[in-house]
Amino acid sequence: MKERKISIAGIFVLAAVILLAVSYGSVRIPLPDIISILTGNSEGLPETWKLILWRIRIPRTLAAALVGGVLATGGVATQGLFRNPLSEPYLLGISSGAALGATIAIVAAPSFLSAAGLGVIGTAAFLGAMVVTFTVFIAAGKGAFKLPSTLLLSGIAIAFLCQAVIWLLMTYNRDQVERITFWTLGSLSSAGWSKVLWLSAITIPSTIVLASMGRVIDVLSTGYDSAHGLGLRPQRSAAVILAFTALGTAAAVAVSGSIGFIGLMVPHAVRLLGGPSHRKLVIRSWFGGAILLVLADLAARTINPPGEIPVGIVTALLGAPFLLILARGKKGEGRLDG
Amino acid sequence: MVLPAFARGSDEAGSRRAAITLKDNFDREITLGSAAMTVVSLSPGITETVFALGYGNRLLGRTDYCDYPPEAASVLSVGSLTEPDIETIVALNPDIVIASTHFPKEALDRLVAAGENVAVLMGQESFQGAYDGVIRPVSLILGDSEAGEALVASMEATVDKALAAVAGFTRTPSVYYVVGFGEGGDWTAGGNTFISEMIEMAGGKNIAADISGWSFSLEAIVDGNPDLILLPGWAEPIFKTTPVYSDLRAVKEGHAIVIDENAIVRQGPRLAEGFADLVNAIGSVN
Repeated sequence: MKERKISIAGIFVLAAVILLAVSYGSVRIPLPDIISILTGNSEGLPETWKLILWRIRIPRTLAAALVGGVLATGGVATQGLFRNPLSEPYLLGISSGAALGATIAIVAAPSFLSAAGLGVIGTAAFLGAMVVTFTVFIAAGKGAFKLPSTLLLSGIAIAFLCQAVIWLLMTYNRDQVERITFWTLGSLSSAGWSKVLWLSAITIPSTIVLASMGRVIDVLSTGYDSAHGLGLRPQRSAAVILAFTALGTAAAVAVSGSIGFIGLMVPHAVRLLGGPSHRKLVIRSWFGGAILLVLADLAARTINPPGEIPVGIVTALLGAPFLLILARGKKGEGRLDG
Repeated sequence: MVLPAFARGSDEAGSRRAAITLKDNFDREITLGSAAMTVVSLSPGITETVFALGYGNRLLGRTDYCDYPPEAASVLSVGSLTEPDIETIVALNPDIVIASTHFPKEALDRLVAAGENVAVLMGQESFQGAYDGVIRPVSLILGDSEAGEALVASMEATVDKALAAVAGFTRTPSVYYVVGFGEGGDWTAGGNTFISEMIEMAGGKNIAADISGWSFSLEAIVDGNPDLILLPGWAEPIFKTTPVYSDLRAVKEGHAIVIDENAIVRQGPRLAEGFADLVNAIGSVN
């Protein structure tokens, strides 16, 4: 019962935050007019306002919620599975793979026609993330899902490899360095409806799968031996969980670039609210991540209008001190590893 | 910014026997016993200037960015603007190395320590800055000030002609200048940039004139509803087919035009043509 209340509260807070985010932007539109436009009474109001609200602000805010949510749930899954509080989904090679894919697209086809939906760079980022994550799993070898640290090491090694290739490509394509850098810093500025659809189609199912496997993560997070004892096939379960984590995270990164700290930070913050049941953690973290990224993106686009700050910078600036405070506060309990 | 002082060792302009002295942007005194017969250029604008003066054959080295005129491709590259390869430059043994904007002091120090004669030449961001800060001193170094004066005169004529066209404009179209867009955010030239100044001079109104710096937003572009959009070449096909951008009035009306940004941002001989192109583009929506 309590969980349902928290979910309902989450929905309300998220809705309020989305409304707030939609109300503010670099272009000032009076609140009554926003409500008129949202309720379909836009008679006599400027066409550009409708375009700004319906085609830019609303899809962008929804995309922020979907990206933030899935990054946070990915953090819950990886931290639980790897039994490591510093884990985050990017460690699977997803962000470096996506960045490599995007870099190749920017360098190889700088004026290539944009494909419907994700666009060329987004598509390349998604493919890059999936290919590199798969490589990380393969490189970790047979023991990958038996000994999670093998997987982490493999992820870190391949992330360095990807970064080296990106730098190499930048060295030979200096004129594209800025585009590559700004893509990497993360931004939701190009998130339209097609990207919202794409995000919904992948991240919502993957979050539902993770939430439904919450009990399994509970067991795996206490060690694989106990999982065996309970009749689970831990390696197979781990593979399924990580595959869905990777899929959801890759979809997010393809849209927004690698926005940092959400996957690492939100699960820790949410753990403060209650016990370590992973089903609850997944759901609560989804709301936490969604709310946080909507607010971070609001800050990114309204701190110095009409200019924007890459949202990844905002999440890192807010996230780092928050995480430190959290870590100090929890020192006595030593429960950061949930 | 310091403009070079013109002090000639001889009355004979253009004589290759003359000793040449000038001050560069770091306020360093540069002395050459005679006109430079071999040059390494560390800036696209300098490379363009050397070619425009008719001395492309004296270039021993250029940077990776020096892509104009096409003949520049056959000159050996010595690396990037900020990190030129010192060994290659020393091995080329030029009479002088000429650098310009984006050239860091550390690179200068390293080149000087390696015994190279280096001049860092850049003017204020204006036509006059390009004339006095780049074209005239480069022509002096090459021992052909007359070619420099001729180039400046032809640029001035191009600018004057363009300004005369601007005087005939009946209105001031709003303009948005694309530096970057899409996944990495929207970037333009704010009111405190030379590009923005050029747009205003060319008879346009920069919709980003109120910002300083380069960061902008899609909302603000839609709200600005520009009459004309200026695009770098790489951006054109993507910009015109990306949702929301493709719905901008200027795109729908066919007023999203490619402009050679290098002609506008490089302090060199194409600045006047770049300005004329800008005037033409703005005139097309007048």
